[in-house]
Amino acid sequence: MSSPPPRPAPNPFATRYTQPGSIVPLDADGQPVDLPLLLSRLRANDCCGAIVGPHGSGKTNLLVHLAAALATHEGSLGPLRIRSHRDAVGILRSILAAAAGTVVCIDSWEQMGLATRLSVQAAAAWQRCGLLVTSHAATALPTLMECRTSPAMLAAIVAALPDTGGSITQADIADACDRHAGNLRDALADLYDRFESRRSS
Amino acid sequence: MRLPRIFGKKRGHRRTGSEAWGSFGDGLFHGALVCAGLVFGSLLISGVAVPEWRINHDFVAARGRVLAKGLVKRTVDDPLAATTATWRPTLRVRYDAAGTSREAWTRSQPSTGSPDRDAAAVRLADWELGGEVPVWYDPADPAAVVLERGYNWWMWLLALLLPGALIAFGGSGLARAVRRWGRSEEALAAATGIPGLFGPRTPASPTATDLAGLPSCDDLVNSPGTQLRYRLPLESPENWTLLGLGLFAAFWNAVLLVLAVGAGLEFTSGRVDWLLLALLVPFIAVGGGAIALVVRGLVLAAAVGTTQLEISDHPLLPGATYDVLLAQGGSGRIRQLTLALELVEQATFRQGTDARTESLVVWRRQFDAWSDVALLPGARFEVRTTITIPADAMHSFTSEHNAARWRIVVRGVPARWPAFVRIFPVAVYPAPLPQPHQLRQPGRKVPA
Amino acid sequence: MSLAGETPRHGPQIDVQFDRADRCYEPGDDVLVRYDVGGLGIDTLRAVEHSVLWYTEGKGEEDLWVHFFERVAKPAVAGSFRVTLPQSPLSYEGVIVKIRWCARVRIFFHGGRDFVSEHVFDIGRVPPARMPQATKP
Repeated sequence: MSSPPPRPAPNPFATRYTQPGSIVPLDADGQPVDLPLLLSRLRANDCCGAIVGPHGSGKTNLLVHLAAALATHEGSLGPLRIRSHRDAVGILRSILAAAAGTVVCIDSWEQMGLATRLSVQAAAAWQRCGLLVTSHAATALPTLMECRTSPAMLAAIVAALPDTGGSITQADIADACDRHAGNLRDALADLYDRFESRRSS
Repeated sequence: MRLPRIFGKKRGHRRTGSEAWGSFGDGLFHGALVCAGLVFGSLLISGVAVPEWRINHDFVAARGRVLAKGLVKRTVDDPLAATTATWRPTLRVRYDAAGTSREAWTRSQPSTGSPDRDAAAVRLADWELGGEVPVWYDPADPAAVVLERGYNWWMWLLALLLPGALIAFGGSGLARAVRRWGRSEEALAAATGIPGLFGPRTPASPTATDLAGLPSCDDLVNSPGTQLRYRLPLESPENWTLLGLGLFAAFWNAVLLVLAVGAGLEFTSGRVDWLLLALLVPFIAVGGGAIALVVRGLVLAAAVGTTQLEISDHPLLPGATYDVLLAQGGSGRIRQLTLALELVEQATFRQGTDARTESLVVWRRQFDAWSDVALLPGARFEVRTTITIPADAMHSFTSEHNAARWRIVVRGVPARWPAFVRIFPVAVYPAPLPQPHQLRQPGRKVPA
Repeated sequence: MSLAGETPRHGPQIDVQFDRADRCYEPGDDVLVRYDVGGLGIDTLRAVEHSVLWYTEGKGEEDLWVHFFERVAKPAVAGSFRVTLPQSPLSYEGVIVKIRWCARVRIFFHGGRDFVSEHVFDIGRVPPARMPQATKP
């Protein structure tokens, strides 16, 4: 059987490889986050908690992984994100239809209005569901983990992505992390552009 | 140390997790809801609805003589509250049932009764011993006799709503679980197009067509040109910005006027509210600035004049050449005027805690340029030129989060005014030319 | 031999062959895809799905469009499917937006797990776009 012809290498920083859920959650030292430990901490808090951190610090990625892990035991709903009032209605309906013990996972908690937050909390309490959220600042929910970033973390993420073929160096990684003040999402977008630029030249 | 990863570096193969148990649990839960709704509904129908319906339809009317009367107490164990009691009047009546004289205590409809004993006693006093009352008896069981008929509508509503809601919730969830059971991303995308809110990709419409991803050009061909076939619409966000700024300036200064009139009236009556006057100063500055910006925008728009572009055909095809008519209005002199064709890629990223759209011009070719263009009031600068779409050009493409858009861009550098840019979107289709009415838009997200 | 309901410890090998070695097609062409699932017994498989689709790749969220889909409830370890390709979109190697066509073969095991094999091919011959050097690093 003949092998397929060579094709252009994919950009390792494309959304396909870097979107939340595609990257193993890492801590600031670049080591994998202890998900079982976080889950036991969450269960100790009646399955209520908040993942706190600035833009691009890996909160959503961690939420997606925790939601997947919860799905096999408690059952999880989400991760959900409310972008409009219509979303809020749909999400409230989903919570009210969820089984007791389900953990409702919501991204960007602080961007929801107060009324929506209270409604979601009331609906989750009514259904005896847990609530796991991401937020830029501490919330009324117990903080499960504070996400921080570092050049070591970005380097570990890049090492786990498809091969860059040497076009992205450690200096690029450090520079991107520094230029975007630790915002990994922006740093990865920056590395995407560098990869494309060098491929074009 | 290499970290584990979800996507392998070697593309092509990957194992995916099992959703079967998740779907099973989901289906089990919703199935239980459906069963609960059916059981609850059956109990309400058999215990309330059917007896009430029989009383109103099957029971036979008769006259009864009151022999005795009393109150019946009924206690109910309520798990959410204390034990409650209800009271209802009952009469011992003698009546004629199918030629046979009978005596019996009247029954009440299952849902009647009052928690207030005194109210029930007052009602009981309305009946006199030895008096005659209308009664209805059951022809199948003549000993069953009632004093009242009619429907308890709130009980009927309850009988329909609660089990109905359980069956609807559970049924929809069960149908969803059955639909998703063991089905892949492609199967779901092909069949329904309903992703999770956070699904990694946006499934498209279920019907694949030959023209997926092509934008419609209906809005680009609905204006006939004066010399060429179509006049292209202008994509001009500046106009909307100016309109928005104008509305803001009008609203702001109207509020300011009300405050200023109030302050002026106080001033003429001899009182000076210095705090109000101090607060008015920054408000006046903002209002004045907004008016200045609007006036500047209007003057620029009037001075530079409108730009119109007509084209000999549309949509455009790779390798084809088209006549273009450029018409520039206004007055004064334009040092340089250029006409270029551009391909812009646009990508929208909405996950995480922010949403952003990035645009990048990946191809640009200038087709013509004119220097020292003199614009005369009342006349337009008109010039004809041609553009050629490269034979290997990518066609226009649009999906929900990604696009490749073609556009004709006119840039001008007036002698006395700031430079301006006018953008005219065009659509490039792959050959052979499809019929516009055949177009479908892919990637439309259906809310989960 | 793998037992029914048991998922192989290591992923199966799915060999896919297109009827054109360069995997380059024109709009309206027929594409013939043959596949062969290695290392598995026929009793291990519950179903096989064939699909031809495009997806976007790049800096934006990924969009997906299924052009052809079929599910074979009585699968064999080897099979083929033929699809007539549409007029659009053409394969595109842009800078921040890329359009990739692919054929997917997804096999389902009796235990509920599945395994997907994805193979990219091209429609049309649009040259890759270049990052404008003046505007990007």
